[in-house]
Amino acid sequence: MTASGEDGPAGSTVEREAQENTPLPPDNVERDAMITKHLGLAQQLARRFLHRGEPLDDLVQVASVALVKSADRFDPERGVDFAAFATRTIIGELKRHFRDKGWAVRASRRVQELYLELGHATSTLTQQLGRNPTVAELSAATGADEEAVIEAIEAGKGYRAASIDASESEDDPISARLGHLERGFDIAEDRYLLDPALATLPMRDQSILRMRFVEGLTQSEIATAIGVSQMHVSRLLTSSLEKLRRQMGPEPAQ
Amino acid sequence: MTDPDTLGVGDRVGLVFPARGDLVVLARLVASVISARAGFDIEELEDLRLAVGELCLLALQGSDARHGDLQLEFTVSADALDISCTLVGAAPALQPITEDGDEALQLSEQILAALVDEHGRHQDDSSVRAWLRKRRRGPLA
Amino acid sequence: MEQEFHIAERLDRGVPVISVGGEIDVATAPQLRESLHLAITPEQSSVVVDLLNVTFLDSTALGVLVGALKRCREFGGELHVVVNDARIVKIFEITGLTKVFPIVDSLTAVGAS
Repeated sequence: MTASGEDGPAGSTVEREAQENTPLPPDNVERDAMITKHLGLAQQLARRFLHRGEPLDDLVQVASVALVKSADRFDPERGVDFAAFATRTIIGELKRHFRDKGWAVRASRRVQELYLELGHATSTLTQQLGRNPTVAELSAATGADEEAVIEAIEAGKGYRAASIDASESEDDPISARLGHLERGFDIAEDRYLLDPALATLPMRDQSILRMRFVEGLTQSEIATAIGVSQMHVSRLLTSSLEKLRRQMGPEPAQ
Repeated sequence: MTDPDTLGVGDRVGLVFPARGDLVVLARLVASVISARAGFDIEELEDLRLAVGELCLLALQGSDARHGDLQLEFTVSADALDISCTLVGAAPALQPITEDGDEALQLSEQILAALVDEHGRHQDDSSVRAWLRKRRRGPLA
Repeated sequence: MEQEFHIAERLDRGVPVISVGGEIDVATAPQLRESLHLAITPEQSSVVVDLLNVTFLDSTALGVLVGALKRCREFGGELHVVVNDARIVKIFEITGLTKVFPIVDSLTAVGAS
């Protein structure tokens, strides 16, 4: 790329050349003009690192400082093209910025915030739209780009929030699971098996199961009726069913 | 003319990688982006991630084929996304390598049946191919 | 991007609790099979498998769990699954495995802390 040799770590090349260059006086008009002329380059290089989650302003600042450093160290008599020289310096500084430990902490905090935002946006949009949102809709709602949203889903942070907030609906995992057993109530054989098992359970468990499967109340209705939270009803149902299942004995092989 | 950030009718994406279990994740990652761009919602995206993984497993047939490749093709049509996974360059496995191999294959079929609209598997002497079709419920995003 | 797969084992009042995190798929399921195989013995025939931090589960993972369940039952015990993520529960549902496994949504529900 330039006459000055191989691409070592940008730092070492720059330092070597800095020792050999005559620094230009700070108020040199030519130097200022060179910096101004290459601000666009600094911006472009900063943009290349956008996908790592740092705000553009911070990156542009790092790139601009690196550009000024390049101008200070540049010696036109070495026959090196300034743009190429500055590019190496700027990229080196940008990479160094990401190696800084502070970035890892900021990035991790930013990622957690995004997960929270996505969770809220998912449940809000689900309610508003009456269906699950698309990645494009989540991206528009949170300002995060498509890749970030997909990464959040890959990391298991997408849909999960919606399912917790949607616990009022009959589609929540526990209800759906109980639905399988509900269908069992309809099959004559199962009912025969079920009644004696049901009778062996403590009264509280029998009541909860009866409210849910015979009277057909939703978890929230049961919660209101017995004065506890809906999450608690969910847990009670789960444990009652567990007891019932144990009474019924092991399932035949599938 | 398709909008940027969406995939439109006739758009095709291909992916090839060595037929190893630890690389099936590549298929899932690609499926995520394609599903998002083809206008599926986030739950369908998750379904397709799981489904494409199962396609790969059906093609691998429980064998960690050391010499073959898995070839995936994603095709967007007006009302659906078609995905196929073909094991090429390796003899299709005769024996599942795991004890629970048979059961796992049964589970793959069940999972596909539940998550996508159509699916199938075809095997001959030189290749195994599994495919799925998922219909889009909403309009293109 | 993917959460790192990890398995941790501990004993809770004599019952092995095997906690798994990350993605359980064809690549990582064999490690889980090995852990479960070693943990389930005639003396320790019941185990709890904690999937609260699992982000992805496929048919090979289910196959491993079914295999482990059979082993528990052969020794007269039970395999309890702990999961509270709707997407993971969904996979158990569509394969009918909610009827086979005792599934609860928290560790306290199985008496483990």
